[in-house]
Amino acid sequence: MIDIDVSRLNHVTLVEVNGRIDGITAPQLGIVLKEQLARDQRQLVIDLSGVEYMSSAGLRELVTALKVARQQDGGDLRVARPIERVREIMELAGLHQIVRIYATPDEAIASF
Amino acid sequence: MTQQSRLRINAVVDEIERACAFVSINAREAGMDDESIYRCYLSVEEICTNIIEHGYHFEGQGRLIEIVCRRDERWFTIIVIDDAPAFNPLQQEDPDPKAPLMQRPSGGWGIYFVKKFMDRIEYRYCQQRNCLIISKRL
Repeated sequence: MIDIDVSRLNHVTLVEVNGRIDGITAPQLGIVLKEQLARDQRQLVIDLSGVEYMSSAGLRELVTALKVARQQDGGDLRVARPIERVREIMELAGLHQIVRIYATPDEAIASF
Repeated sequence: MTQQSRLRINAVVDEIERACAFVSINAREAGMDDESIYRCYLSVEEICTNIIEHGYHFEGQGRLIEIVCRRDERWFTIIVIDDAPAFNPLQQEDPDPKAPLMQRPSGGWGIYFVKKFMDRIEYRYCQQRNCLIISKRL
């Protein structure tokens, strides 16, 4: 199960994810991120505080979206408050060196 | 004494959670803590996803993946068996966590996580079936 809410604050798109990002649900997240980027919403914040589990399927969607975002002028995807297990997955893949991670969604939004 | 239980699932994505739940129950019965159970759960998801995606190319309806959980005094072992073409995932080069964003593939991290999360991992091909054997110390 996964719930994804999308909202806009000024020029930044906040994507709040709740549930599990696994092989079944990750494509749903991928579709949402792809849609936002296709609409020129190139500054994305993903709030992962409600995600209790993320496998490599979720990581794949994050990296795919991050690549697309960074190829656009001023575009980026930033992550807010992942729980320890999700952070570990990102760290094992070295993603924490690439993606900017913030303690709160507000901080992530303000960083743009 | 060795105890063993077995589950067969259809080789489709929707069945993976059943395999993971089966492994979780067996890991808990073996006395593992929540963190170790989580690591077994994620490992089984990654392995089954790999088989369904790369072994059966998402056409595994009617094909089976067998999961065996085995425990003795020292080890909790999970064996994942499929009859897709022979493929040893341990011979694949690990992805590079230091690779720059645009030089890295988006996926390909599953088996890498399994290697990190489990204490032992071994591949065998016998009777025309792939067997990936992963273990964690008890």
